Amino acid sequence: MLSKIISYGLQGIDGFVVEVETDISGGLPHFEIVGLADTAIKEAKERVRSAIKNSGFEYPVKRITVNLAPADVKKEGTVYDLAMAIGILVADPKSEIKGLSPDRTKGFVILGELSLNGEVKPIKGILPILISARKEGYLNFILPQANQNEASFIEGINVYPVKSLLETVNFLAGESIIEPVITKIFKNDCVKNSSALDFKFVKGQAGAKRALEIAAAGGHNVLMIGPPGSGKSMLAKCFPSILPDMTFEEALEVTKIHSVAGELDFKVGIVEERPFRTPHHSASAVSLTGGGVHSKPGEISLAHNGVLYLDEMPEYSRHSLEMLRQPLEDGCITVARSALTVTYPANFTLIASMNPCPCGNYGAKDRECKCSPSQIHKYLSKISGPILDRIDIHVEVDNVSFTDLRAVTNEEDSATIKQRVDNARKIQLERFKNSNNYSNSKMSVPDTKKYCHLSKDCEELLKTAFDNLKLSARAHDRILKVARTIADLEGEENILPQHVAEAIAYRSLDRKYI
Amino acid sequence: MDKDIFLKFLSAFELSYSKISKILDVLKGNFSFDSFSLSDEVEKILGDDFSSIIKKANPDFLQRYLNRLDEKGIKILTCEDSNYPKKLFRCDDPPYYLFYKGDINILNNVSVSIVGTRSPSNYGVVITERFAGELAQAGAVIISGLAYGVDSIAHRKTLLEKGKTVAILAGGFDHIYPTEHFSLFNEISQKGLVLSEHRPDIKALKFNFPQRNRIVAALSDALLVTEAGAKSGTSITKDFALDYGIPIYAIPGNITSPKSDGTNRIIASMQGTCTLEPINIINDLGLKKKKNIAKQLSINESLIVQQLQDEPKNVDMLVEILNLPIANLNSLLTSLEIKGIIKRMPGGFFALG
Repeated sequence: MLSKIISYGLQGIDGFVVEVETDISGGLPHFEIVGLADTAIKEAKERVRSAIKNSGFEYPVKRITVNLAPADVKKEGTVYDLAMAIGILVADPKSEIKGLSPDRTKGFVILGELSLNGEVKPIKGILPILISARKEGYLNFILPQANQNEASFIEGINVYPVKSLLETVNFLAGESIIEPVITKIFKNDCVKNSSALDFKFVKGQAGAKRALEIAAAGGHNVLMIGPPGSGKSMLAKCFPSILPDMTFEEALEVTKIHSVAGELDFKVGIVEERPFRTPHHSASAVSLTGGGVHSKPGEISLAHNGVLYLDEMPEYSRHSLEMLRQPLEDGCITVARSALTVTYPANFTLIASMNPCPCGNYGAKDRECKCSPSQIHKYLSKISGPILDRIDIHVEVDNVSFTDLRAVTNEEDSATIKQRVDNARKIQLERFKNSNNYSNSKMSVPDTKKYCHLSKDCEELLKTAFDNLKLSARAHDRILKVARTIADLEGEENILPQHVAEAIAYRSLDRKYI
Repeated sequence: MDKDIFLKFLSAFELSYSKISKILDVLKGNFSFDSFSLSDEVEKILGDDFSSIIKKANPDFLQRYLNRLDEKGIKILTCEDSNYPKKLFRCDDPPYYLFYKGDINILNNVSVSIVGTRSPSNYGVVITERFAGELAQAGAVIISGLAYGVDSIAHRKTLLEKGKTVAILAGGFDHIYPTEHFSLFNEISQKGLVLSEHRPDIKALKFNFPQRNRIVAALSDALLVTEAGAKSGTSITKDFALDYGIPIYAIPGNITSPKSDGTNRIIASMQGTCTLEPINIINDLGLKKKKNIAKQLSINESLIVQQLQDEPKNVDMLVEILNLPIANLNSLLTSLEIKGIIKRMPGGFFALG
C-alpha cells in the first residue's frame, strides 16, 4: 500500500514542500530511502524503526521504500523522521491502529526528529518553514513541542505540538485531542536594555560615543582606531543598547536565519534583541559568508538587522575581509555552490576596531610607538581601499586617564541616546517610506542627490575641505550621508554647514595617516 | 665627438669624480670611442671595469642610453655646466653628474635643509610643519631627502605653502624610496626639483644614504634638525654640515624623550644653534618673514586655539575643558582645520598647524 505525508525541507532560509511517499510491498525485509537524501536522512531508517517498535507498534517486516519528492532536490537534516514513521504506519496494510487512514493525515504538515524511544525532538528552521508553508496554503502543522514557542508567532495557522510518536498517532487516529498553540503577540519590551552594557558605564570617550550615536541613527558602519585598552570593545558592546527596537518583521527575518542555523533559543522562540555577532579573527571566509556542505548562514547573515563586530580588523585574513565587500553594498549574500545557490540576507551594521600600528601605540598620548613607518603603513594597508570605502565613520579612541576613570561624572545613559536615535530613525522611515530602503547609509546615488541637497555655504565648505585636507574622492558621498544623519539627529530639514563639517571630521583615514 | 656628449656617455658608468677627471686628462681633448677604448692609460684607471665599459663604447649604446633618459624626462647636469650648483664643491668628492627632474635654477635661491627622524612624535610633526611652513613662506628653498617622517613632512608643508622644495634621492629615478612617497615624488618633480647623483637603475642601497646626505648638507645655506634620535642618518648629515662649515640649527626637545636625544645633544655640544622660532633662521639668512594675514575666528574657535597653544589635545580632552557639545566641537575643529589653523594628528589629536 502507498501513503503520502506532507513535510517540509529547507533551502537557504526558505522552505519547500517535500512529499514523503511510502510504499510497502512484499519481498525481503528492506528499507530504502530515495530522493537525494543526505546521511542524516539515510540514518533515519534506524531511528524510525526503533521509534515505531518502542512506541508499541508493529514494524512491518516487508520491503519499504520511501521517496522524498521532489526527488531531484538535495535534502538534509532530520526533519522528515516523524513524517516517515507516520507514513510507514499508514501504509502498512496490516496496521492494527484504527482510524489512522490517509484521509486523516491529509492536510497536515508533519515535522520532527525521532529518538529511539519514540520521543519527538526539536528541529532547526521551524519559523522559515511555517512562513513558506503558510504562503503555499498549508494551515495545519504537527511539530515538536520544543519548537512551539517559535511557531507561536505566526498568525492564521493551527500548530499541534507533539511530544512523542505515540501521541502523534493517537491524535491523528482521533483518539486524543491536542490543543493548538495560541498565537503570541510580539511586543518588544525595553526591559532587556537595562543589562550591564550601558553607555553610562563608559567614562569619557565623548568623541567615540557621538560617532556611535550617529552610526546607530543612520545605520552607518564604523571603524574605531585606538591603542589597546582604550575601550573599543566596551564601546562596541554597548552599541546595541542604543539601536532602535526591532519591528516584528525585522524580528521574524532574524529569527528565520537563526532558526535555520540552529542558534535559536527554543524557550523564547524568537530573536527579540538585535543580534550582536563577534566572530574571532581566525574565522574562515565560509564561516563569515555562509554556505559550506550543509549550507548554513554565516556570521554576516546571523548579524542581519544587527551588528557585526570585527575586533582587531587587520588580523582577519585579507580573503575574509574582501568577502564583506558585496554584502556591505547589497545587504545580502548569494552563496553559489555546485549543488545549489542560496541567498541569505545580510543587512548589518559593521563595527570594526583596530590598533593604529602593530605595537598599538602610534599617536597615543603617553606611550611610545616602536614601529617603523613602513610597518605602520603595511599594517594600515591591510584594510583595503574598497573596504574603507564602505565604512562611513572613522573615529579615533584614546586611553582614558586614571583620574578620568575614577571621576564621578554623570555620563549619559543608553536610554537617553536611544531616544534621539529613535527620533532620527522616524524621520528616515518617513523619508524612505516609498522605497525598500530605511536608513541614510543605504541611500542610492539618486537618493543621495535628492535628499542631501547642499546649500551654497555647504558646497563651499566641502570644496575647501577637499582642497585643503586632501580628502579622497570616495569620501564625498560618505560625508553627504553622514551629514544627512547628523541633520536628522538635530531635527533639521536641511543640511547645514556645521553638519558637513562634523561629517568631515569622521574621515580621518582618508587623509595621509603617516 | 663633442666633450659634452662624451661626458654624458661616461655618466652611464657611475664613475667617481677623480676617475673621470683622470680620464679627461689622459684623453687630452680627443674625445672619441676609439681613443677611449684603445688607451692603455684609461684601462689602468678603470681597472676591472674596463672590459665591460669598452663593450658599450659605441654610438648605438650611447643613443639608446640618452633616449631612455629622455623618455623618462630625466636631465643630466655635469659639474662643468654653468648652472651646476657651486655649493657642491664644498664636498671632497662632489658628484660629477646630477640627474634631475624639475627646475634646477631654484638651487640659486637661499635654501634650508630640514632633516630628522623618520618616526617623529606629535611634537616633532608640529614643529617641523611650523618651521618648514614659515621658512617656505619667507622664500627659502626647503631641501630634504624624501624619507619617511620629518623629510616628507617638510616637503609636503612646503608644497602646501606653495614654496619650492628639493628632494635628494639616495638611488636612481627608477627606484624611488620609500615607494609610498611616489606621488609626493611626482609632485615635487613638477613643482620643485628632484636630484640624484646616480643613473636611474641604481637601487637605493644602505651605503647610498650617507652619500646622499652629503649633498643634502652641501646644497644648503643652513641645516635645521627638528627632531632626531641619538644615532641616525641625521647625525651623518650634521657631521657633513660641520665639515662644510654650514650653520646648524637644532630645536630642543624634552630631555627625557629619546626622539629628541640627537637634537638636544647638538645643542649641548654647541655644534648647532638652539632655535626656538623660525624667525631666528629667517633673519640669519637675510630673508624677510611674511606677515600672517589675520584669520577671522569665532569666539569658540579662538577658545579652541587657545587650548591647543601649550600641547596637542584630543576631542575628549577639549570636550571636558571647554564644555562644548561634542557635535559643535567636531564641526568647529573641522572648520579650523580647513582654515589651516589647526592640524589633525594621529590618534585623534589636534595641534596648532
